[in-house]
Amino acid sequence: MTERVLIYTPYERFWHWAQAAGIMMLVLTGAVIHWPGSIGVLPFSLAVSIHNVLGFLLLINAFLGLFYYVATGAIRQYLPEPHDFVSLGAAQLMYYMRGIFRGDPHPLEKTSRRRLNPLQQITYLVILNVLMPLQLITGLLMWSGQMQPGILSWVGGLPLVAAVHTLGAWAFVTFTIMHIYLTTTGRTPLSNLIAMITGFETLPKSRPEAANQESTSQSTPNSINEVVT
Amino acid sequence: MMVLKISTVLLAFVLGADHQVPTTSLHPPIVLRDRGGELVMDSGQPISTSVSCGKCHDTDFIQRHSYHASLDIDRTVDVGSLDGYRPWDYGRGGVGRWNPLTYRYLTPPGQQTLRMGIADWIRLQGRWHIGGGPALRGFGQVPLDEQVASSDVSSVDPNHQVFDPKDGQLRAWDWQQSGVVEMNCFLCHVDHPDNAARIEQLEAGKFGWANTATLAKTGLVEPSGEGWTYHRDAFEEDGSVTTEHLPLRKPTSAHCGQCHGLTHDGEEPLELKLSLRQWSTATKGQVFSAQRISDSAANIEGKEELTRPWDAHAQAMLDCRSCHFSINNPAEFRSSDRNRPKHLSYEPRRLTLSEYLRQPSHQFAKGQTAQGSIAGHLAGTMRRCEDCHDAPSTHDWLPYQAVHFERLSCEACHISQSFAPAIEQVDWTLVDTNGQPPTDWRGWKRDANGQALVTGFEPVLLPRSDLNGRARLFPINLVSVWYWVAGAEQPLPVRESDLQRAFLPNGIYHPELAAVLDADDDGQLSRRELRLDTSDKVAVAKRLLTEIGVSQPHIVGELQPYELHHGVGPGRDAIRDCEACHAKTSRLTQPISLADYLPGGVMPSPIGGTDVIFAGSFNDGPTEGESNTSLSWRPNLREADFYVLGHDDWPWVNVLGVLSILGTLIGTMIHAGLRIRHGRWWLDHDHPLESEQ
Repeated sequence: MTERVLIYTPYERFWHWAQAAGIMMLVLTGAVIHWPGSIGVLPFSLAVSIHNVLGFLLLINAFLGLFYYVATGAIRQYLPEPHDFVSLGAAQLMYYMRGIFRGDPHPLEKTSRRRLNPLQQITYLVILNVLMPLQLITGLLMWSGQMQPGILSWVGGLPLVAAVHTLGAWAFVTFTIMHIYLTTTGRTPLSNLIAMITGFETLPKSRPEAANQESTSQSTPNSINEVVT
Repeated sequence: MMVLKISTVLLAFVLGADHQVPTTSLHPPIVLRDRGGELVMDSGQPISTSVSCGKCHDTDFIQRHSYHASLDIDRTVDVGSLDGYRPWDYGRGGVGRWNPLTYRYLTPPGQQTLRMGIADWIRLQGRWHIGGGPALRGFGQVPLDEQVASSDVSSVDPNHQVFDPKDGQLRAWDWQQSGVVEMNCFLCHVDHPDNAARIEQLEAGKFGWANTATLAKTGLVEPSGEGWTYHRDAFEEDGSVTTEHLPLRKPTSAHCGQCHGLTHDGEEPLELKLSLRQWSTATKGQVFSAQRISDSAANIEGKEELTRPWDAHAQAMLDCRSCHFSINNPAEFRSSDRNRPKHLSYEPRRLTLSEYLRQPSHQFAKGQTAQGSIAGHLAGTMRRCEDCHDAPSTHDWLPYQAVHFERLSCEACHISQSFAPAIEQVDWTLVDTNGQPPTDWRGWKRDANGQALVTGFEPVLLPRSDLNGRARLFPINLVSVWYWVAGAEQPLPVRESDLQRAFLPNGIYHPELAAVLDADDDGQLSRRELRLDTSDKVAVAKRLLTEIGVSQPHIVGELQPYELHHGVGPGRDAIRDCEACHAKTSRLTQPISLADYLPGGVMPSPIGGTDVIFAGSFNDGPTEGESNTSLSWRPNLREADFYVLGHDDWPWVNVLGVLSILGTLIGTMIHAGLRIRHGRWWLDHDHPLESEQ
């Protein structure tokens, strides 16, 4: 028995793909700025302009996303729960290292109200709370250098800020590769990707204990289960 | 729009009126007198500008308020007391700061040996000096011909002695006979001064006649025997001359160019010369002319395409005074930021015209440059680019304006190339048969027909600290110079005459030196052979110097920066391409060649007192001790705290990033491979969803 479950709301999908496109374009234009002439015909000045505009769009999108997740309570999805976090995280790690090759079931069954396993939670916490703010702040500092070079100098100057920004960009690329690969570890290689496109994912119908666990956990109020039998 | 057109027409009319030199001078007739106050047409003595011009103008004030006259002789310090300067320097200005390009060391009072006295200094250096200052008073306070010289020629007195290179003896100089050189008003204020005649008098030691000779083209005077005679018919009965014969007016750029470099305002095609006599042109390749480069007489590469003027400011009918004005000229006066209260944007207290005409300061507004350390207290008084140009509004296409303006001088982009050659290397470790050092110029080559083809050159961009403490990039020509220094405790450059005595006894090369230099054994020494680029050659040269009494000779090399501030092109020719700088092969790190070889294998050291930050390194091979190899300088602006996006990066950041990505890719591929191998790529393959539905 399976059911088609709405995992991602339209806004969450829009937000995700907007972020993805933005980050990809930022990486590409950033590469042109880092290695001028490296990306075909895109000139340096245009790359800088696009990079700046995209940076601000990403900043706006990040704030809108933050507002959405806080307002809807969906942000709880990203907050690790203290109890069992270590053991569940270890179980997830062991699954990726061993269980996945043996056909073991996922340690944590994916539901609309608990989309992220502990490893994903900690990863996204770092990405969204450390890496992305770091990139936004360092990017803003470099951008603001055109008006207030003093501030840029005060925080260490372009050499330091640019180094941190570049390091962050490399980290984003690394994360993206890992992220794309891990999307293939769903029920089918494309099921996670399709879910992020359509919003729906076909999952085994919730077991009673899983349902109980859901009911006792902090659920996402606007997640909708659509049983398809 | 109509207003704009009318304004443009009016502006063109006004500028045109200023540009067209009026046929008559507004200056009143001037009575020409000698130093005793007698009419020169009666006395037949040299004209005294101090007395003649002093009737209306305070010539003593003018002479004492002119660094062109004093050359900072009044600001000298103890020998060797300036940090970063040469051990024998005793000033920052024209007097006291030795320059190996001219190789003239004026001995200061108190030294035990005389290298060059005031009289010889005037003969050799006077061509670049307006008179007054050291040419009038030497190191003293009263005119040299009024000073009482010591009768003891055994003690060194640079004011009254000269060194005779023939026998190495000191000779007393007779200032009564030679006269002194007063500040030469005619050189800059007469329409067509005869500078060649003036220089001829100076070189001949007829100092008193130099100013008079400047009028050779006016029809007032002509050479006669040992002196000059006056054409009485050109004088009025009262001894005055009208402006018809002596047209006096404000100086033009051509006047300044007589000493400073090549200026050209005529219709005839401009000619380029490789000569140190055109100082700024020789050291920087600067030409101040409105003429299109394509119209010049020089054989310039791609000349037909070069329809830009040599200098856009000259084309805009500006002249030197436009920026380098008299600092107390009421029309131009700018109070110093240091003296003016911050709330005061305009200083209304200034001289009236009559006061100014009485005491016009000849301290001309000047900028701050690497090479121009004279009158340091006046640095920054001139009108700079930003005082006339509203850069932010004309650079609206330029992103990050504040950063660019903070780090780049206007010249960095607007003088990206010099179209005239400039000196690259001067090698005083040897002299040619004319007693001159082998000199290499950059910016020209021989074409297929063996003709000289001017290619121009791109100056190197180096940061220099400006008066506000900012390090900004300026276009600079680097000149490398090598010379012999004698002595260890009190080192001094080896005298020119000693170089000739050692290397060219009787006017021909010493046989031992010729033998070791003549690489192809053809009995001739070509330019390529005239170099001390092996230890054998250096040893012979050193021994020859030692044999004539030069103590502990050793070779010293130095690197001199000469900033380019003229030769500005039109805006369309400025660097606008971001990737000119923001690229791995950036203009900012473009090397500049310094020398074809290293005399004595000695690496040159940047000279001090320039405020230039020599961020970068020598490259193209040579290290200390290697001689027969070229030398260049490659800037590394990171050393000066410059970070240019697209050009600079941290290699370890990239290494870390690449390793991180590679590690992730390899990890995921191994993981995916294992999943496939274990048949777990499709996790639900045993229970296809379709079958469940």
